[in-house]
Amino acid sequence: MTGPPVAGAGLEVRGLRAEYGAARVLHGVDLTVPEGEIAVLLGPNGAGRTTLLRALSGLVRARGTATLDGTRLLGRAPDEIARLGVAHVTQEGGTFGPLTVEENLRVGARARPWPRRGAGEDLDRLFGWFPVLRAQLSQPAGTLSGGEQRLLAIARALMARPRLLLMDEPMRGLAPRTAGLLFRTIHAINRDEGTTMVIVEHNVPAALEVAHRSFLMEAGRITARRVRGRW
Amino acid sequence: MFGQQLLEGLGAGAGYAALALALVLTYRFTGIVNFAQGELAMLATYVAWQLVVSGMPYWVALPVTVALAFAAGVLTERLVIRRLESGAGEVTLVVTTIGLYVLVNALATLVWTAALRAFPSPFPDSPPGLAALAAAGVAGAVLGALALVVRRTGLGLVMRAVAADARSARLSGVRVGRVLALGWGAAAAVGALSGVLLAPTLFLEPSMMTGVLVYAFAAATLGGFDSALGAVAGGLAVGVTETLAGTYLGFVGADLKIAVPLVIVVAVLLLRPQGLFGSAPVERA
Ligand SMILES: Nc1ncnc2c1ncn2[C@@H]1O[C@H](COP(=O)(O)OP(=O)(O)OP(=O)(O)O)[C@@H](O)[C@H]1O
Ligand SMILES: [Mg+2]
Repeated sequence: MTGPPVAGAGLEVRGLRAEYGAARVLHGVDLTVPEGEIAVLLGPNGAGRTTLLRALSGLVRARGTATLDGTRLLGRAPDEIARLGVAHVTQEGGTFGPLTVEENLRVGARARPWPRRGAGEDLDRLFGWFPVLRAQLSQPAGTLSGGEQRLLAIARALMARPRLLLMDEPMRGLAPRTAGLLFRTIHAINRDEGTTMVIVEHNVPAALEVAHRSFLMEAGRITARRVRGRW
Repeated sequence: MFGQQLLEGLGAGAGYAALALALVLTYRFTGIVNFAQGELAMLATYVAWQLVVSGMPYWVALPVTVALAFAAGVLTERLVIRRLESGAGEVTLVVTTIGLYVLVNALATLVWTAALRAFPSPFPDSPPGLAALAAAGVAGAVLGALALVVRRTGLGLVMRAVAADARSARLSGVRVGRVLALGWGAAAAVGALSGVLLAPTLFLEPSMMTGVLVYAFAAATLGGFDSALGAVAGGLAVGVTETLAGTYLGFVGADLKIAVPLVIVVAVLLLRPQGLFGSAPVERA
C-alpha cells in the first residue's frame, strides 16, 4: 500500500472547501507538509482549523484535493482513511469510557499496517513516555482525569503507527509540566519514526518550538505561512 | 411441587432472558430500543415450527433457525436501519422498529393465519420440568458463549468500542457498519433462541411474543438496560417470580401473574434507578 517514496511525499492539500449545511467554512485551503515534518496550524477561534482536520480524516465532506504520499484522501470513509495511516486526535479527545486503558490502546493498535507486529514494544515505549497510563492500565478510561484522557487519546492514536498524525489542541487541559512532556514526546516520535504531523494549537510558543512549518489560518483560508530549517 | 415450579420458572425465564439480552444488545450498539425484537423472534419461531412439522428434529431446527435469524438481522441492519441512520434521529429509528413490528406481525398472520398451533415438545414423553431444564441449559450455554466472545476476543473488543463511541472507533479504523450489522445479527439470533425455547410452552400464534416482550422489557430494566448480565439475571428472576406467584399467591392466580414481575421491577427501580446491574451515569466533578 505504501510503496516506495514518491515525489511530493507527505500531505498535499489543494483548494479544499467544506461547509456545514449552508455555512461555508473552508474557502479553498492550500497547504503542503512534506513527509516527516511537523506543521502547526495557528489562528483565531472559529477559523476552521478543526474543520480542516475533520475533512482530512473523513469526518466532514469536502471538495478539492488532499493526498497523503500520493494517495487520495477525500471521498473516503473515516475508517478507510484511518487504515491508510491517518490518525486523528479530535478536539473532544474521544476515549472509550467503559473500556479500560489497556483495551483503548488495543483498539488503537487495530489500525496498524499489516502485519500488526511490534505493538508490545510500542506499548512499552508509550508507557516510558506516559507512565500515568501504565499505572492505570486496568482502569476504565472514563474514570481518568481530563488530562489523562487526553494523553490516552494521543497514545491510542500512536498505537496505530500512523503515517500522518492530526492533533487538535493536544495540550488543552494539560498541566504545564505534562504539556512540556507531551511536546518533547511529539518531537521524539517525529524524529524517530518520521511521522508527519499536523497540530492545531493555541499555545503558540510551545507549538513553534516543534514546528518545521507553521500556517496561520483565518476565516477559512491560509493567510500566512512560515517554513523553518530542520533541527 | 415447588422444585417443579422453580424449574418451569427457570425455563420460562431463560426465554425472557434471551429476548431481554437481544433488546440490550441492540440498545448497547445502536442506542435503539427495538420494539420489533419480539416479532422477529416470533417469525423465527414459525420458521422453526415449519421445519419441525416437515420432519426436522427440534434440536436440529433450533440451530438452523438461529442461523437464519442471524442472517435476517444482518440484512435488516444493512437494508433498513443503515439507510435511516445517517439522516434520521433516534425517535425516527424507534418508530421504524414499531413499524417493523406491525409489518412482521401482519406478514406472519398472512402466511400462517392467526390460528393457534401447538409447537411439538422436544421431549414428548418426559415431565415438563425436563424441557424447562433443557431450555435453561441451552440458553445458558449460548449466553455464556456470547459473553466469552464479547469479553475475550478481538471482535468483542471492537464491538464494545463501537458501542462506547462509534466515531472514535471509526477513527481507529474499525469498520463500524460491519460491527453494527453483526450486532443486529447477534440480537436477532438470541431473540430467535428465545422464541424457539419458549415455543413448546406457549401456543404458536402471531401475537405469542407480545407478552414475552413486556417481560423482556421488565427483565432488561430490572437488570439495568445497558448490562447483558443484568438482562439474563433479570429474565430468570422475572420467570421464577411469575411462575411461583401464579401458583403460591392465591389472590394472584393465572390472570394477574403477569403483573407480579412488573410490580417488583417498579419497586427495585425506586430503590436503584439504574437497575440491579446497570451503571449509573458516570459524572466527573
Ligand atoms: N458541526 C457544525 N455545524 C455547523 N457549524 C459548525 C460546525 N462545526 C463548526 N462550525 C462552524 O465552523 C466554523 C469553524 O469552526 P472550527 O471548529 O473549524 O474552528 P476552529 O478553527 O477549530 O476554532 P477553535 O479554535 O475555536 O476550535 C465556526 O464558525 C463554527 O461555528
Ligand atoms: Mg477547533
